[in-house]
Amino acid sequence: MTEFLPFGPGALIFIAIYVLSLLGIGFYAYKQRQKDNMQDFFLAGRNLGFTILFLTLYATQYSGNTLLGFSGATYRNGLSFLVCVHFMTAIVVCYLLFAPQLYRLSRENQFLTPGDFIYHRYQSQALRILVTLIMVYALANFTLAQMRTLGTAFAGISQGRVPMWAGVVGLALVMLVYESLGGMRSVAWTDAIQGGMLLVGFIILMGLAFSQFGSIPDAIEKLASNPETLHKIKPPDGDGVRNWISFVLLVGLGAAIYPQAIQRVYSARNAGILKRSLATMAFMPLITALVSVMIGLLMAAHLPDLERQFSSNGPIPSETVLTQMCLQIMQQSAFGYWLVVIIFASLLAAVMSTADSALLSISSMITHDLYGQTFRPDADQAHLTRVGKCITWILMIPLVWAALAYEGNLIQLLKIKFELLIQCVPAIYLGVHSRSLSARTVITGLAAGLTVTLILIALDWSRVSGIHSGIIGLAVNLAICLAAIVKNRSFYTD
Amino acid sequence: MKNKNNFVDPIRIPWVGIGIIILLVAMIPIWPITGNWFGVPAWAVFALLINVLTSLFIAFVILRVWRDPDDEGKHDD
Repeated sequence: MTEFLPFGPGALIFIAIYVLSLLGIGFYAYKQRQKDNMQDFFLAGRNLGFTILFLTLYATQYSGNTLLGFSGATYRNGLSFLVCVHFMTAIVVCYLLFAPQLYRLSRENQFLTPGDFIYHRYQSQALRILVTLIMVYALANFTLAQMRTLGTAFAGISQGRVPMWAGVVGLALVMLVYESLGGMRSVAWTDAIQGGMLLVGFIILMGLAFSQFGSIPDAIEKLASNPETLHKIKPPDGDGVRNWISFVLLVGLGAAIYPQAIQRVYSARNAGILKRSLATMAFMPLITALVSVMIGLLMAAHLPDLERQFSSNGPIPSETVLTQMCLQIMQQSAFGYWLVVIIFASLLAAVMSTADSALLSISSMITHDLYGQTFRPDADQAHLTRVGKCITWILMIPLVWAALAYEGNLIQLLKIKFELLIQCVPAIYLGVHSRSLSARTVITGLAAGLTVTLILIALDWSRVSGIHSGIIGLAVNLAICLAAIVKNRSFYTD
Repeated sequence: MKNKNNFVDPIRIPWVGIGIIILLVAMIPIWPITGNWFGVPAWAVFALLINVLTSLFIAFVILRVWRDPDDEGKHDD
């Protein structure tokens, strides 16, 4: 976002104070720890209250992509990217399909990771490892992309005085320190601050966008009067509708089973708090994703030639529409300048909160599901907690390296993370409800789904008639699992 | 649906499942709605209205239908 934003020393000091305050929160969380065990470190002792749980769910679910990617996609595609409001709402709908049962089971059996549920339900270490590896892969991609955004952002606001590698390494160190000190407690508390900043950022953005560029009906009129932009207000065609449905299924089903999201379900102090947090989350797309859509629309009407313009780095990408808007606002007044500083801090907050949650989740799965259960089943809790902290630091080395060495040939791997993650859907969504689904069936479905998805991607058919390859793979996967359930004529568990 | 432990899984209640399916289908922009509402294409306003209804329905189901023995835990902030 900050490729062109001319931030002065005052703004940089504000950002530095914000980043350093996260270390203070980490230290406070360390002092608040209750036990030296995995439940306390990775799930904050299953004691998160409503404010913290809601804000950490919010900050984890909405990343920098919500601000930059959604507004850019709306700029390119127009109103048809309204689908982003739907797929973010679909995530909460999907929680409803499995969270009530999963929460109950997690309390009865003290689950720590998604792998714990898989093993409890299917009694198969092979399936647990398979699901864990897929989830670790998806989350590592997620973290890598966030690290890259962090580095670009810092290099941008410092006008190149802080090189990208220093931004990535510096912010990675800050995250590692506060995460090692307080684990989930640190992450959730910093998420609460970051989620609060993100909410404030979106509210400011909405006000700024309207005051700067006028109303949405005015923008629609402008788009309609320009033959080149008229398509941006038309409803999607046949392929577009199929892509709409596919997007809602892909993101709704996939994001709800992100391991860090599942671990937040485990971390609630009680069911009442979890329910209030999820119910509040149902309205967040309307004040978050919808704001990004409105910014994209306003910019499409007022700056229709953005992608034809060039900067020193080549054509200006549509993801910079928010930057363009901020640039115009900050050049007009000191008030506008500081509002943009707050928006940038909220963007940084969005990226860091997503990255730290993903990192902690990866660390817990490797420590508990892979190391603890496979290699050291006799290890005590204190030892595993120490290993978890070490793994977090060790993991950061390849992630930082990959973020800095990130090249075009990695892009395809990054894009398919959702396609692979949703192959775990039957294991969790059907697993909490059906008693007749066996580990062998789930592994067969998972293998078939992954094979179909990867073959389609290898053939460069990442979408077939608008449907994502992962959804086609999931259809095969689900067909296998549902056939087994029908054959055994039993769906619900007690 | 409701067991001896006073646990109610909302998704096992038929009207909840039917409501979710109707709302998700209504969200898809395939309905023959033309013209503008409030200066915005009617199909987009309709899709957004359905989204608001979905949020309200989901919040209602989560808060009023889902029951868990752990509902009455310690109160928070």
